[in-house]
Amino acid sequence: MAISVFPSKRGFFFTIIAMLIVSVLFVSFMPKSGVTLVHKIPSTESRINVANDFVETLKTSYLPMALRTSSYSALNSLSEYTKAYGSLFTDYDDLNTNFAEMMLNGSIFCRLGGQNAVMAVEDCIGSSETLMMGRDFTRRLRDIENASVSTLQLQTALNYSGFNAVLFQNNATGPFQVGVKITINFSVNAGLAWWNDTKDVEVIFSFEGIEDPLYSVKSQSDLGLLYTNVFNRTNITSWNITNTFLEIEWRKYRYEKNGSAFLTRFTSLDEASECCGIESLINPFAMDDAVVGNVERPYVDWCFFGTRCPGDQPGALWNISCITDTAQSPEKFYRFSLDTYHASTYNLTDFVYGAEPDPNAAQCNGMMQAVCGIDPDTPCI
Amino acid sequence: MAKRGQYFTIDAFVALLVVTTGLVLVLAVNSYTPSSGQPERLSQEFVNVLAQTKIKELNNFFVMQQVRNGNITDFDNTILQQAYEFKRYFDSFLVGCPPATGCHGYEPSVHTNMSAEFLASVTPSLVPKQYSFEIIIDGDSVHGRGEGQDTTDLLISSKRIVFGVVNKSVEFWGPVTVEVRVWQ
Repeated sequence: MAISVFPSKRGFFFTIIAMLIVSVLFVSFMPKSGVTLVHKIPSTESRINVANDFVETLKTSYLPMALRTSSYSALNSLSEYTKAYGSLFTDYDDLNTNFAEMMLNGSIFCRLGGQNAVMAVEDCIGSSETLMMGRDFTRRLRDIENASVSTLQLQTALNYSGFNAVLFQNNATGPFQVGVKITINFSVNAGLAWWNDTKDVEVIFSFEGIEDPLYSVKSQSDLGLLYTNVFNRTNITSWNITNTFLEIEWRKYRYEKNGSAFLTRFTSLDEASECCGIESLINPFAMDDAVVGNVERPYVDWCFFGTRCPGDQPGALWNISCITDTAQSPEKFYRFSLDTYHASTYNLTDFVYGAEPDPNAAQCNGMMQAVCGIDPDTPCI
Repeated sequence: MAKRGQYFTIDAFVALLVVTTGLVLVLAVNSYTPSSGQPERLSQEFVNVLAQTKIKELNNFFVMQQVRNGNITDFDNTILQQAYEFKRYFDSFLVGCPPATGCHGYEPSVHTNMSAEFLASVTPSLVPKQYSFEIIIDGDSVHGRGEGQDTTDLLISSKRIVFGVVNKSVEFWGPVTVEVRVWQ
């Protein structure tokens, strides 16, 4: 008698179905080799995201901000250095070399007192005030490298190749801003991922608040006394006799295509800049009337301290009604004079006069009412 | 015969259910791990919001008041930058503080508590109430909510490097570390 394992076909069928269901469930829930990685993926993803955010922040925010602040401090320090040294840089290359050294390391090749050595600018000029200490660009790079290691456990290396920082002014900067460009190599190591890139960082910023080297150096060499003036842009846009008075009074700067640009003022070059020339008017009241009054040149800074404007020749220099005064302080402004070009620029052609007495003297009281008492030391005429 | 077939199939399912339930119970008892997904995302998003939201995008009474009083001058500062500036320039006394490690000069009980008040005014709606958090700026716990940090099963920490300039000038500060801890 034959013995059948499956007494019926339907029993066989049901058993196969049950085994298939169990097999499907078993296969579905069987641990896979990739499961171990599944747990690691979120943390790896998170770490890569953190590193990527850091790299983006570094490129778009930290490096430009650090370059801007270090560059401004470096230009301010160079202004202080030229004032202490009493001499300007020979040309743009000389300026750029010293700027790069100052901005990157906070030091300068010090010529003061015949020292002729590279040293911290504070030591060079004997300043108790902090100019570059802790503000140089290299220090900023090391700070962020250390912070990335201690905070994010990211190995970061930031380097610049040589002294490649470049100062510039052009139509993009305009006359009242200056630009700096530098090339940075950086690498960030996050373990599984590695960023390695070279980036040109360019910043454009205002130089307001820095002392004008043209004043502080040339006043010493030409007048024998130190006078300073700080770069500040005037908000006067239309010119007449009262606004010219205020421009002299406030010693602010305006765009002038024939004037010397901000960077030129750090050098011995005496040249115009179509894009970026600026000028301020010499204020004899704020300086020493007697000393300034002996200079017979147009009372525009680049003319006064330069050689490009006409000197005292007949028909070349003009007194200005209600502004030029023949008496020293407290009268304003002793022996102030302008050349024909500037008299026209400031819309003063109707108010110029020569050696004769001021033809408009009788009308000054009414003409100058707008500036009467505008400053404590501005008397009403 | 048809009834027997149904019986076997149902029997197979019942047996499977018993075995599966048993396995699930055994595995569940021995392998409890708190879910880290939500707190982790919450912590990261929290620090991202603090690091990216600017003062000019905020609209609350405390911020308006500080703007009127002249204590907030740079509206492009992020929340973290402003919190650090409050901590450094209002809540700390740095003059004469030796540069030794641990000397932050941060004494909110002696000076002002601007950084904590500022963060308290902007953070409540950013983190769900069932979560606790703590914000640590440059090593000092400045603001937090809730307790149990030491006893929680899961605490997620996110860190950011923060830096800035004071009032768009050239006075650079940082980089400093800001840490946000979130737990339940």
